[in-house]
Amino acid sequence: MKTILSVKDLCKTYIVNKRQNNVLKNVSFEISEGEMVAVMGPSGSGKSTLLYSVSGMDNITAGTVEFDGRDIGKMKKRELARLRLLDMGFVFQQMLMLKNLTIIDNIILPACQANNGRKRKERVEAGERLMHKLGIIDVADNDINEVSGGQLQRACICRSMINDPKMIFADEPTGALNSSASNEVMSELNRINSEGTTIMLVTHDVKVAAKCSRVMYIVDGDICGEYNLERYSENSNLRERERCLANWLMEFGW
Amino acid sequence: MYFRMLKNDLKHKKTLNIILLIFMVLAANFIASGISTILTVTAALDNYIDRSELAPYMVFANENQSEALNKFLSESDKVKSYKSDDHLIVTSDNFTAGDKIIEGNGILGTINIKSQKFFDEHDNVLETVNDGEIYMPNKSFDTAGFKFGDKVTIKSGSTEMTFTVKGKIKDAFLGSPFMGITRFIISDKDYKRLKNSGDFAGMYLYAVDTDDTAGVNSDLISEGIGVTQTVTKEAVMTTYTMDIVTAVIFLVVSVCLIIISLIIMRFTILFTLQEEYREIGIMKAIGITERRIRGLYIVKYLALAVAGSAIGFVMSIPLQNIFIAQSSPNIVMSGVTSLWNNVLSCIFLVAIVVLFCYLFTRRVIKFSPVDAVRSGSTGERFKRKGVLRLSKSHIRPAMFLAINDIISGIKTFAALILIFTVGVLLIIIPANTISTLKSDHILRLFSISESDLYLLNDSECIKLHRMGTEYIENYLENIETKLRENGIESKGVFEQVSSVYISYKDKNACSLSFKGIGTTSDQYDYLEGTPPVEENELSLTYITADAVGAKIGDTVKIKYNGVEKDFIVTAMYQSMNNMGEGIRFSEKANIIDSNDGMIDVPVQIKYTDSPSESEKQSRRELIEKLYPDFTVYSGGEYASFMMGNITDSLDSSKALIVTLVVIINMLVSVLMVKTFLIKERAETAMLKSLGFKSSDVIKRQVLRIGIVLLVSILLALLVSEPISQFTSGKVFEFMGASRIEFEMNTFEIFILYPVILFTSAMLSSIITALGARKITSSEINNVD
Repeated sequence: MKTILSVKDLCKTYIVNKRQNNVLKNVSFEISEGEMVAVMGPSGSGKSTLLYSVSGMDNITAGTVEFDGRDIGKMKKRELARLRLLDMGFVFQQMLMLKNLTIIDNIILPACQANNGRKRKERVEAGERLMHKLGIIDVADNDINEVSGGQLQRACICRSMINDPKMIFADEPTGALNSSASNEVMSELNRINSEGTTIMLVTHDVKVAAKCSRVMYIVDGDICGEYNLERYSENSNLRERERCLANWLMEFGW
Repeated sequence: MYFRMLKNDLKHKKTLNIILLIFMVLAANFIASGISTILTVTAALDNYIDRSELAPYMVFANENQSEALNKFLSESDKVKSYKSDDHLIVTSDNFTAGDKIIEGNGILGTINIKSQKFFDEHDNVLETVNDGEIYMPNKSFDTAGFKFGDKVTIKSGSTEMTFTVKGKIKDAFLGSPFMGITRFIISDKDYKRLKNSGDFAGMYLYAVDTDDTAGVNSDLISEGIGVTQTVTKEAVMTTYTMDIVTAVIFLVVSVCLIIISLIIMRFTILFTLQEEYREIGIMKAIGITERRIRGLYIVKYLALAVAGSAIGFVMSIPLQNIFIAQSSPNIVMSGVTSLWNNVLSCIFLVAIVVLFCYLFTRRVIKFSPVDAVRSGSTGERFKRKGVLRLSKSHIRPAMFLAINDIISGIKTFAALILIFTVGVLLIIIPANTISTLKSDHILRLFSISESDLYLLNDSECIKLHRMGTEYIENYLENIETKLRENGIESKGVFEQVSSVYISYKDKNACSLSFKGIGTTSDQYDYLEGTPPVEENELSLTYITADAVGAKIGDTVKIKYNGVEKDFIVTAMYQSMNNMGEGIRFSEKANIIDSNDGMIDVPVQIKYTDSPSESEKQSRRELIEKLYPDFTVYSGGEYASFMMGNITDSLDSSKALIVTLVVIINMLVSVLMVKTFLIKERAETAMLKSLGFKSSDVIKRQVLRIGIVLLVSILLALLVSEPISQFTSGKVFEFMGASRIEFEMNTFEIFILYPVILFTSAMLSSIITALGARKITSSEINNVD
């Protein structure tokens, strides 16, 4: 499979109160097209920083990050914005949406911004199609205050998908949801992944990570292990995947 | 604890607090200096009139009228006592002072006149004037550009005397720029020499001490005693109203600033409360009372108000001195200035700020400990605020979001619209007032029909009045012939003005009356009825009609030169002559033939062949050459000449207000954009994560201010007419014009000021919105 994200010797350093804080230390990894990779690790280990650094949302201190063959470290802010708009999708723990727009309007907002020749009707149809697929078409015209957390996160996934991105970055997408909503969201992400979209997500939840094809474990800014779940067939018992993953994680003191 | 929290707040919300402080400083400065100037000048005026020993009722009479008037005053039981002083009538033609021109009519008096006291420029009573010296009021001294020691020659017939300009006098009765007549003071000996020459006409000024001015006036009219003009002490005081006009304008500005400060304060308080709901919830959870929590915010705004008022107080002192300096050349100011007014004004501002702060912090009551725990969400569902649909719109996202934000947060943006609208109105109203005062049409309010040129020569105009109707008709015909010979087709017009008595039933009054020669009465503006056409028809101003209780259709009696005639009132009009009094006769009326008054009205020239603007200019140059003894004015110029320095002082106030409003708008724009950036940090980060560029976020911020400003400008233009009527219209009403149509300088109002305001506000918004560049998409995880 073609590599979509290639990270080499990535370093990220913050200066806080004149003290240097090395959050990421020479991190290297690759993600191939169609993969669904989870990043796990204890709090403060640098999971979210890694996600933001490789997706161009945050500057990197050293190293290279190539997305779809392009070195994002050398890209200008405008080019990065365009890259995020067209080729990347983002899902966050906080289901942030513009409060003065309806759910459908929030979803099609990146499509309107893209201005890539799609007509208004096509944009709306694409939004509705996604909502239909994720089972939230009934709340299309609702305000963001009028839907549940699970529905809102699914709407966020729709928004991340509206411009047909090559890869979705998700930062604890189920962190603010209850277990049933969490399952719904993960099912949708799995479905999107099965349709060909690459996904990289950060999570604390073994159940969530067990639904991915690969898990990277990060401690103190360094990837200290990877666990491949592809060896398990799609039909294998989820509990079995979770148990194996948990066992592996326990080696790192999880 | 209060001090620590205050220090923290001031540190973290530096820009917001500085802007709020600036508003409070400006508001305190203007309110303190405005109120103090008004109170100081009003008190000084009372003091000045008292110290001048001005009589309650004054009468001008010529030499022929004085005998009957003396008899009436000595026999009237309503008159306690009276004094009379003789004066000599002088016009600008009698004066020669190098290249300096003394405009308007005047009277020469001696320092020893009995009816009142005069003051020098240092506010000391003027006791002596040496032979060969002349004193004049500021209005002539400054307008002509005199310096102390300049020479002035007074000449009439074979008599000629040269005087040295010794100083300026403060003349309570005739010193106001609004008084048409100017008094010059010379020594007794010089006065007698000029009087004995017989080359100058005389004029008597009677100062009547009475407790019943209305009664004396009424008796004077019913006895049919001819006088040139009567004036009450109250009317004299109103002529000084314009001395406080700048202070009044700035007081209005200060009220607007206070309103703006309160709106901004409300906005920042609500913003702070929304931001600090967690802290408030936690404080409540640990048992701190609401009163103490509200106290935290009140202490902050109290500190800002006290600091702002203290700085404003200090700044108000020099500003107040500037305002007072505008009045001091005309009024005796010494001994009445006090800083207590400034202190009390500043205390008033602090009290207003604290009171409103108390009201605005009511929201504290709503926040509960649950808010703190549940991140501001109590589980309550809100109705959607947005109205527009992106899915149904063709507008680009940045513009759509800007419009949608305004509609969704209409309460917040309405406050912003209100602030901007008030600012724009602060510019439009004085601008329209100045345009109106400078327009050619304003002359219609002075009972003068519109002409192309106005030719003024005081002595010629007085001569025309004295010689009567037939002489005037011939005079105008000669002008028309001379101009025709020089290729100018025109019509000469002259207004005969006189003072007549009018009575209806048991009420009577004295009023200026007008009759046009060379024109017809239908060429004037009437607000009701039809123009007087027949010999026995007239129209009245509302003020004169009210004075005698007459209406359209009533028959009134007019007494003039001992003759009494009946006239039918056919129309009502408005006039700014003599505080609104006036009667207009039809051109056929045989009532005003000649009079000895001192009213200088111009000879008017109306072109009959509609020349182009460039042709008009060359004709004006030709007429100036043909009539070198006349000063030639356009309509607007003649109006400015009649109204003295009001338009100049309004012009300088306008420039200051435009600057002030531009600064206010820029500060408000900075404050709003800055607040929105803080408030919408999460949204901005999220938009950036979705692929929005910094420029798109900046566009959203700037467009909101731009749209709101455009709406405000349109709103201000829409409401400017009624607001102008309600504000400066009242000044016109006070002067006698109750229904005024404001002129608008289209370029200034629709292009110049909107462009200045828009550009400055946009510039400050863009610079502030550049702060959005610092917000990164990765911050999405660090915001609430």
